[in-house]
Amino acid sequence: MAETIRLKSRAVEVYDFRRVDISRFITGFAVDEAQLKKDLERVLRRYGRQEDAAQVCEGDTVTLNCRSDVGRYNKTGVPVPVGKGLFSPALEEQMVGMARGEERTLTVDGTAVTVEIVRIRRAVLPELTDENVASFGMEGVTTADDLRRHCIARQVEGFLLEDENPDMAAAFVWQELAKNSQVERDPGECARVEVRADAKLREMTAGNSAAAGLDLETMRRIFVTELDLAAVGAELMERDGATLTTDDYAAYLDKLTEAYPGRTRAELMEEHSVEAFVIERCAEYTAQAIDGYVAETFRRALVK
Amino acid sequence: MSVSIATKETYPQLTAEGFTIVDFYSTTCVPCKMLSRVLEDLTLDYPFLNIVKVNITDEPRLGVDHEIEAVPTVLFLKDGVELEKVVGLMDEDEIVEKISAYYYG
Repeated sequence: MAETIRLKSRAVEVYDFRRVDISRFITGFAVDEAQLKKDLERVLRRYGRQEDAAQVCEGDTVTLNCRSDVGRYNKTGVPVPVGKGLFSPALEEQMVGMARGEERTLTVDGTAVTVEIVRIRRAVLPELTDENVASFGMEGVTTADDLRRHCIARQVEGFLLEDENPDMAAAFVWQELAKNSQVERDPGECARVEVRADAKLREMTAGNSAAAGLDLETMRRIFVTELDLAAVGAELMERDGATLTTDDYAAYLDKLTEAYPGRTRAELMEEHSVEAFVIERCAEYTAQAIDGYVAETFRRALVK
Repeated sequence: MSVSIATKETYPQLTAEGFTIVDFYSTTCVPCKMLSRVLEDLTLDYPFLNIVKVNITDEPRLGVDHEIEAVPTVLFLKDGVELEKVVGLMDEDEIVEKISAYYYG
């Protein structure tokens, strides 16, 4: 039966990180209107339908047969999104207006290509009306304005992933949380993270004596902060009713064993001890909670 | 075609025929999430694409077999044969370029 595994270091007081003001980091975002138009069209396409058409228009997906001396243009049954330029911009341009079943010899870069239009599929998009949007059944999206906000929210998600401001905000919250929480560190776990800090420093500076001003004290401080935030994470987990068990650790080792078939389980356990596993998972829990707070704050401020 | 999630049992069948884009990802990797969105969008624009996703946390053996050292990694395959491996995030234009080169090439 699985047993609960716990961190020995303990957070005596956990600072409420949701009180940290990160508004100064919320800058640099503007709605990309061209992308918004594209995203709205994609949503409409998802709920639209495809129908057969008689004559090729830009935007259609045409199935064609083509013959030529050039290999690229010697194919049967190839789907071509007309106007996207994936197959051949020149060929796609000349295909516009051709009828289903029509065969024509076109010229691409001086090469004759005989094209036969086998099938023309056209996307029929629903209009962007409140009624249509409501019929899509998207969660929390019942009007055209909601859909617009939904698409802007996607841009904000991209911004959250790409921009450095959310990372800087998270780092700031992380720092404030570590500074204002009180942790009783377990001496054994402290010693363990210091050993890990030493090893990490050796790994990072191997063959590079001038490794970016890193010193042992700094490295140890980083790892001890991780331990503190792991203790905070353990407390947050307890509040949320989440636990780590020996089964979680066994599953983690199973994955490692599968990934490194040449290594024995005992070797892997020595390298990836249960103590290190608990510290890592608890610190991750804190990081996820902080990321959630940052993302939620950015979303609230930017999705309008 | 569509987006499929592969296991080590289903991978060979899912990638055996035609042009396939394989996305090796992990759920905790931020660039992987961005790439996943790009691929999802592409399936709406190019519904004939076959996109296969492999979660290397769930399927470490597939990661080892394909020498995946970082995620995201994208493989472009034709009839199961690797044409190109790209490590790191790709944007829509870069993927479309590969489709143009390999799907129609």
